[in-house]
Amino acid sequence: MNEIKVDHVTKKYGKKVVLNDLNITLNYPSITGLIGRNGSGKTTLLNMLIGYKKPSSGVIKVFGENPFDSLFVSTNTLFVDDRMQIPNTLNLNEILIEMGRFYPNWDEQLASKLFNYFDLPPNSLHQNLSKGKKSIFNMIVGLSAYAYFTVFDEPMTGMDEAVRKDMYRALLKNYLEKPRIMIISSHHLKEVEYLLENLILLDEGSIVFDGDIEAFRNYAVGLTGKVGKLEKWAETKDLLYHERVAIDDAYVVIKNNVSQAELDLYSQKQSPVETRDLLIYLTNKRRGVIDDVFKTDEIESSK
Amino acid sequence: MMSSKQMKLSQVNEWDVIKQSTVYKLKVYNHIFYSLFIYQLIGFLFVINSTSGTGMSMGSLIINLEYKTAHALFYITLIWLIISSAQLGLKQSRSLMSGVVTNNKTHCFSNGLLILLMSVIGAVTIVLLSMTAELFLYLFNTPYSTDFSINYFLELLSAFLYLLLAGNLAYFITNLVMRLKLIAYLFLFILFISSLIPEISPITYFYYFLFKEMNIFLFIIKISLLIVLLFIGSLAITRQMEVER
Amino acid sequence: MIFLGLSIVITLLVILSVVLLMKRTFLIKGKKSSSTVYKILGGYVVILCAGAILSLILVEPENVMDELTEVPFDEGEFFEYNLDYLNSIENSLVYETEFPVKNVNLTETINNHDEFETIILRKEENDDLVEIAYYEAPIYLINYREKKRYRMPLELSDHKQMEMNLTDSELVWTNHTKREYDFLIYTPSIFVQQFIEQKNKESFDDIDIDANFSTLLIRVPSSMSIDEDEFIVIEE
Repeated sequence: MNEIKVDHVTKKYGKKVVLNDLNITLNYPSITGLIGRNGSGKTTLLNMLIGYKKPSSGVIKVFGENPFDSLFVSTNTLFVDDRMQIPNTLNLNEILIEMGRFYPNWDEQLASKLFNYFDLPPNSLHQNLSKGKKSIFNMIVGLSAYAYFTVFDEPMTGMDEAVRKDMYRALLKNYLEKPRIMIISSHHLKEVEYLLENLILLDEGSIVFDGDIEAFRNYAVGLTGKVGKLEKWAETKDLLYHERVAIDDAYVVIKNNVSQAELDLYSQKQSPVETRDLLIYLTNKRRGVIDDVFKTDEIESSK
Repeated sequence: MMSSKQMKLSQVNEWDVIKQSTVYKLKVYNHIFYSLFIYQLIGFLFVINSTSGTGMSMGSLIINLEYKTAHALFYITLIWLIISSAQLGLKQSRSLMSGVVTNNKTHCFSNGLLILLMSVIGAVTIVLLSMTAELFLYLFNTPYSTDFSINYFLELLSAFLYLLLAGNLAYFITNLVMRLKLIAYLFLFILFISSLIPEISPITYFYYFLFKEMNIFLFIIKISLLIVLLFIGSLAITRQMEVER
Repeated sequence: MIFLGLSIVITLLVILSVVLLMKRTFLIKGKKSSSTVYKILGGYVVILCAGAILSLILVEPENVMDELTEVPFDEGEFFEYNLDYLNSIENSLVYETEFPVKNVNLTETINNHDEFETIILRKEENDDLVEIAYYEAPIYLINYREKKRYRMPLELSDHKQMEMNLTDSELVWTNHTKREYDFLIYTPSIFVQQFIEQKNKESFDDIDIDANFSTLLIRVPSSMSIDEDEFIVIEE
């Protein structure tokens, strides 16, 4: 019973459905990315997994227990984000000591080393730190606690490039040291991609993709070809994106569930789709592209 | 290789977490005990300067009697305790604990423990400070009279129980307002309306129930019962509270 | 009044010095380390303990004369003097005079509470001289709650402030001395009173004056007899 299960979970705020019939399983050990646009429901899902909020319907089981108000889950869980509750009456050093008292797997040495490496002032108060340094401190707590289930929600906010690089590396090493169930939620898919084993893509409260990272990378294929031939055929498939690149040429992205022969037939060139772009295409399906906003103006002016 | 890195789920003891939470809160909320010091200093000022006096005269003789009491000290400590206990019942207090290991039950119990500690310290400092005030007044005033037959232990117990009651009441009401706003306002409304008619006012009953109770043992039982009921009420209210950060 | 002002000043000075001391070690408005706060609290409690212990040792009722086994507590009770009683306690002669008896009727004395005024009316006997000596006894305060009787420091009336006027048939005596005593009663107990049975609560005063504070001693020639009861009777 060492896994996390989300079973037909829905969350409503009044009439607004924020999460719609989610089904997720997270096994031990795994490092999963939770990706989605703003307002997709990521934070709500995470809040429920940690046990801060209750689902409107459905069942969540963390280590076999309902995480809401569970002391057992609380001991084995840590949620790292920019709203992490760090008291302002203790200095950073004292906070680390207190955290060490609560979390059973706390590694004092690691915390101390990371603290010194990132040059944090031990006698300072958390509220007096810059945004970047706050995030660094929160990450140090997250890494040193070695909580069985650790969640990072936008953990690198405010950090500069060099520090981010170091932090990702530290996170990976930390995970490899003691593999556990980790969720990383981030907008910077490109940066975090290489860490992930699995990916969950959430859009407007529903799961668009749930699988391993390789499958995501191979989820779609980008095709370039002649407008008439390619576009007509592509429209009969799972079309994710299309664009006119020249007068006669089109670039389309379709789901990679078509045989190689067909791909060769209808397209001149095939290319893999970058995860960053795939993310946009998968979540833009219903919204269209920014160019559409300007399209009608062109037609109007040409009349 | 994998087995040495294998992580195990940690078991947790509720009571350990309650103790740990209480110590944590003592450190985080240290301003509570610092403010006690300030409040009581002000109370001390009140005690030694407050006067109500009567005069008697007998022909050419005038006797001025000056009365000073230590009541102001108790009331100020009571205010301190009520404010501090209410602070513990706020949503911020619960969300603060979300950064460490906790659940609603351990949070409530550790708050109860804190209120208990505050009541003990409050009662002890009240009694000691009132005695110190006595010394202060004695050194500067003759002739002088006081209640030499006072039973300090009883004083301590009585002050402690009243403080504990007030603290739990403040905590309970804060929780009620936080979570069940409608019920809280309804309750206060009913209380206000009924207090306009003293005969049926629950406040009058409460007054006679506690403040006019002359038997010490009955008093202890009554007030303990009230305290326990209030604490259970707080526990029940906070049970299903979600965490807002 | 002086004491009131003095105590305010002293307390303010104490608070000011504490505040300044704190400012030197750390900011008042800043966040304090929790260990410092608890050290302050500990120190505070230690000081209070010391104060309390000192209070238990030092604070003692002064000038206690005796303990009353029974509290004289009836309304309208008279306190009477007689010479024997007077002689057994400290008293001092303040005023002495004599006047011819013929002009004075000696019957009874009344104490007027506005000014000390005693009208002595002569008994219906003729004789030579009546000697009046005015004695004052210490003032007693009775604390009914403690059931103790306190003797106040003896402050005699200034005989220069005394007047005797002899008119046709009356001897009027006026004492203009003002004596004022300040007595402080401190009630440290807070909520224990509800457990203590209060008898006769309505007409209960903590302190009352034992009205035996002055008397007029009149010596008369041996040919005249006056009952010892016929001294100043002060009505309560």
